[in-house]
Amino acid sequence: MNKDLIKNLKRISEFEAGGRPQEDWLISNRDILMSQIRPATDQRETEYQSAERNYYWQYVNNLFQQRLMRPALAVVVLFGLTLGYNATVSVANSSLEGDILYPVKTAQERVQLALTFSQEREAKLHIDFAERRLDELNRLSQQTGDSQKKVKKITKTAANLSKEVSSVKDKLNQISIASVDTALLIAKEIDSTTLDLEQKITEVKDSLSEEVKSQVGDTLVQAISTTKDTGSSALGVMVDKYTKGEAGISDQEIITRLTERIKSAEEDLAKASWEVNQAVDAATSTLSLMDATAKASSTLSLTLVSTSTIENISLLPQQAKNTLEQAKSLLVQGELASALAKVVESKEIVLGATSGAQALVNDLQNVDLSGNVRGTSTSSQLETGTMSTSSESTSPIVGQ
Amino acid sequence: MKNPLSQQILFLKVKNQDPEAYGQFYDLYVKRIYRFIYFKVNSVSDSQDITSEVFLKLWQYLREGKEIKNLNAFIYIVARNLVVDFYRQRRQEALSINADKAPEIIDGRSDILKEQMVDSDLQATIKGMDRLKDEYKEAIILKYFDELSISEIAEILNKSKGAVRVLLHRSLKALKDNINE
Repeated sequence: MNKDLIKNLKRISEFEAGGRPQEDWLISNRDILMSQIRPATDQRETEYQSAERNYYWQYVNNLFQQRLMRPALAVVVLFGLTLGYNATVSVANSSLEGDILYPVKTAQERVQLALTFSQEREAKLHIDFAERRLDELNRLSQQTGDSQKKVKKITKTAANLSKEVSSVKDKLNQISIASVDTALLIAKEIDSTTLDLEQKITEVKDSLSEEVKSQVGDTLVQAISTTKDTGSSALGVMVDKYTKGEAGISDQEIITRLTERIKSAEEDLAKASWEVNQAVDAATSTLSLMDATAKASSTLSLTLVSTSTIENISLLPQQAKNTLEQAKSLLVQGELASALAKVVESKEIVLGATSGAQALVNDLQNVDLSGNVRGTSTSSQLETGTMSTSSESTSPIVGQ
Repeated sequence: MKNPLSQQILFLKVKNQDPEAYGQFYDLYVKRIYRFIYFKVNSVSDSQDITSEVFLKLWQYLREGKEIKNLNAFIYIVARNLVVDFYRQRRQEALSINADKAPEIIDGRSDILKEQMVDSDLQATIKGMDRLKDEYKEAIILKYFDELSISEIAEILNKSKGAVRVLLHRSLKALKDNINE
């Protein structure tokens, strides 16, 4: 009887007659309350932050009692005994993937996120963490020694960088639904940060040896692509707010930011064009050196490396260029949303061109050229000339 | 809430007068405070007014630096006192809704039908609650709706833990009797 009664008591609270308040009143009352309490409290921020820190460490202690955190705790204790706590945390902050103190660093980050209640702060934390992963990538790329270990560390760090950037995008989406002012501020920060991240990840990729690059290239390209995607989303939020006439962004600012995106897209296009040209040249010359019999017995994929395929790939950079020209023209006409859509479209085409070039190069590498053409008058030229051309052309492409 | 410690941190932020945290605290407590008040005053508009006042009053206490040991219990104490004030202002007897007020109560519950709450058990439970003494109602709400601990209820009602246990036992019995009548 008591059980049923208690169950009924809980059920009646789902009805207004059982004390459920009206939803619209809940919201309007909250707005009124917040407007009443907000103004006089800004000066309390420092005191609140200091109190939060105390609880932060309490939370860390709790986490360390959990199974997953025990390795991190063991490391903290070990280093703490010898170096002291502050020194341990400081060393952990400068650690890299694979280092003994790295789990402490990532645990600390998870704790920070767990203690954050505001979406805005969470977004900012993910931005910070993405920048940390970039710094780690940079330092890992300069390491010497066992290249296989280096590959593993870079792959893992780049994947984590992608995750952080994806989280930034997720948070932005949530914020953009919830709050106009905050969404715009965060979008601006994300737009600037992602442009910087894109450029620096590319620099890291370019600085790697061919051996390492061929193994980590895909993960780095994925990180760049995720970063571009997040940047476009941020700019999308800004364009949306601007076109709706909301305050917080000027004509000049939105135009400048779109122009920067177009400029970045043009730089990508220039690089992709060079890669496509190299791949197309190599494929064309290889095809021209193979007679019909050689082609038939080749492991080269005839469906892929046909004249028409090569032609299609070679046309992509021009197509991307035309799309970017349209974006510029739309920007001049004040069609900002359409201009941004064209920038995104051009990026997709550039991505397709780069992938196509990569596929061509991969197939060229699989061709058993010696079996097909050895013994012909051009064999020596092919083995020295074409292969080297192919190698030169692949070098910047592998890992794209 | 993510976990009890997160809630503790939220309370700490509230005590340190962080307005954003207070907004989250409002989200966490507004429904239960409203319900606590609603069962005492039986009027939507009065419950809304008093609930708003509770949150504003609590904020004022925080701003004045009043020592609050248990925020979870303290907000109910504020709500309880404001209901007392409400009745005092209306020159009615505090905390007691006797059988004479039954028509008003039933009128106040007319939305039962609007909400198509056809379950006769639920209707009987609500009517049974309405006819309870105020202190029985409070005990039931705090224990079975809001799931507060015996010691928190004791603090809110200013009674010993033993007295709260006895009160809960009597409250449930009285409610059962009301329903079965």
